[in-house]
Amino acid sequence: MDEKMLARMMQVLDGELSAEERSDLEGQIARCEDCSAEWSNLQTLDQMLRQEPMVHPPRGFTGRVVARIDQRQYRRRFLFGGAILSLGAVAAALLLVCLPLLSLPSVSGGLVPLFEAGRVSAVGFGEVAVTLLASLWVTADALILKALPLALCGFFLALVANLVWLVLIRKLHRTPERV
Amino acid sequence: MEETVLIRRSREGDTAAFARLVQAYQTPVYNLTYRMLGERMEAEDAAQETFVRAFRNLHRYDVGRSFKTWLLSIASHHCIDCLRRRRPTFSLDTAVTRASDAFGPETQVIQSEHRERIRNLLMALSPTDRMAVTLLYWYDYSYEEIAEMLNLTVGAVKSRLFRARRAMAQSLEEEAYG
Repeated sequence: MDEKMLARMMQVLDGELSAEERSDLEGQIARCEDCSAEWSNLQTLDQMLRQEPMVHPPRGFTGRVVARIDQRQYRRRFLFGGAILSLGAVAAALLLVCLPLLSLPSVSGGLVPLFEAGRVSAVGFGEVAVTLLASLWVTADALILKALPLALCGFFLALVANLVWLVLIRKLHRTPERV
Repeated sequence: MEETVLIRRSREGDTAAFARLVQAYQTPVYNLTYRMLGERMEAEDAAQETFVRAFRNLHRYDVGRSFKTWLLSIASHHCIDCLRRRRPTFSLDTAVTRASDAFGPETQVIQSEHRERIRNLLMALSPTDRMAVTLLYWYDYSYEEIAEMLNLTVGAVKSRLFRARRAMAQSLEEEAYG
């Protein structure tokens, strides 16, 4: 039997052929023994599948899904809280270890040149920052008349952005309603 | 309550609203996972995982699409992943069916035998062919919808359904004469 005939049988099963085309095909099937056997098998299969109802989940399925969601949310919160606590503990431990170490004469003696170098660098950075701020001030002073409305807009935009951010954060941290 | 409202509330973290969505769609999702995996315990686990993933990814759901199709698409991808990872196992379903056959009423036996036959026919197919047959027969999806869900062309879906149905019909014939 050719594939074309088979393909048309499938089309009949899916309701894709007109009544006329269908009766034409059935005539051809009746004249061919192999085709009749194949058609009969396909029809049996089709009916078998169409009669089979959907399988329902076992009782209490919804409750188990919700419990699984709750469990995962709890685990995530627990991990997040645990990570924060661990970081805090590490920071506290470092402080506890470092403070007594710094009070030791040998350690503090070795640290003097380091602090001195740090102080010099900080002064250098400070001077650079002051120069930059001064140049900004001069520019702003020159543009103050034109820049004032812009600055005010920027301020209000920042205020609105902060408010939106606050609302979002509050929404994210809101505890889900329970049944 | 309307579905869109339930979805919106679920997105805000309301598990009670999500529970109502689970209740509404548990049967189509579970039926799909059962037809794909062929084993009740595994099917329940996959169906639960589908809903958990849906809850976590609700922000990605496009309200313009059908929620049921979105859920079924999550379930189908998850089942295909499960089948890839799966090792050959003994089916508990077969054991349970055989045990209950001895005591259950006659109709129950016929039903479970019928279900078992369909399960065997489906399990002999490749996962994608099985999915195409399942979507066609239990969900009345069109060729186009099946193609969209399985990332295939309509022609590929037709040829997969053709091959799958022919293979299943041949198995039935062998069963009848064997």
